[in-house]
Amino acid sequence: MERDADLVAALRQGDRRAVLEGLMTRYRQKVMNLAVSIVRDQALAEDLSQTVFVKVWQALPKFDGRASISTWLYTITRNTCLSAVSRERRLVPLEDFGEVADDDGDPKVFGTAAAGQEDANQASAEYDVAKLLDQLPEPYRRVVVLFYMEDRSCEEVGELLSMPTGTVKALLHRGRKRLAALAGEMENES
Amino acid sequence: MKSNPEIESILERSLRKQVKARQLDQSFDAAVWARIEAEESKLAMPAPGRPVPASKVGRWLFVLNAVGVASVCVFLCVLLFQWLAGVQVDATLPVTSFQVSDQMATAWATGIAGAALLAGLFYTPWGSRLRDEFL
Repeated sequence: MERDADLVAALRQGDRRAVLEGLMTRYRQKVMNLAVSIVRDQALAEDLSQTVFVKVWQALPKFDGRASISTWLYTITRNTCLSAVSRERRLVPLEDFGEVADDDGDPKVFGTAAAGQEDANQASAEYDVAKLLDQLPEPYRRVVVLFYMEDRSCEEVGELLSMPTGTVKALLHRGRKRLAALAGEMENES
Repeated sequence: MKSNPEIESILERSLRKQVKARQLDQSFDAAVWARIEAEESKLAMPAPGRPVPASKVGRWLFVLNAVGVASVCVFLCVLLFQWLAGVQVDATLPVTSFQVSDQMATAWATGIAGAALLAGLFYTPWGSRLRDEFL
């Protein structure tokens, strides 16, 4: 199923299994990205992404089609992640992200270890993004993180966060400025 | 000392390189289906047959409540009886013999006592087992 309309049609025919399979194929990575941008922990984000699809499975019979299926899915994702954050008060420092890197050579996420594997000159020409993002307040951080995960598309970020594209652009611009200021301070300290 | 455009350029490169989420594949889908099956089998499991026994404190509270309600009932009956005793009733009462009244009272008392006994037995562990079996 390549389009949301096909998923909705399958749902109307009562083929819940096909709908969930289609949703996972199309949206699992976006759900994961959104979850990572909120909880900032890869393992927890993956666990919550699974929870989101379990909730979707349970709620599919009640989906009335008033909102688009992707908007509905992203709303469930945001609510699930925000509840988890407030319940567990688990905002893991970004430095910890390096610990969950895959052993099979996948790129490490938010960690500085990836930069460490490059040659010395290249590594010294990069900032520790984890540290910088840790100092960036919400909602700038969420927008910046999602922007780079979603192949730098403001429209995608807006859809994921239910924000107008103009707001995303403004937050991104200010977020980058703040990050640059923080990087400048880091340069001065060193 | 780096200039602002230089800092922004390095920052952009760092963000592009370092901000990444773990890539999900089919194993993610399999994990979701496993969780769904687990949830559904949990829901499909029959509820435990026997009710959870009430705690001793709960039983004592129930007994105290019953005693309290019974005392209030007796008190109200006495008050009603005293009030009625002082009232002059002019209406003629139906004539019934002492023997008929006695028989009726015995029959009522037996019925009420039997019902009370059955209700009591109904809530014993033995009675609740019978209820689970037949109701």
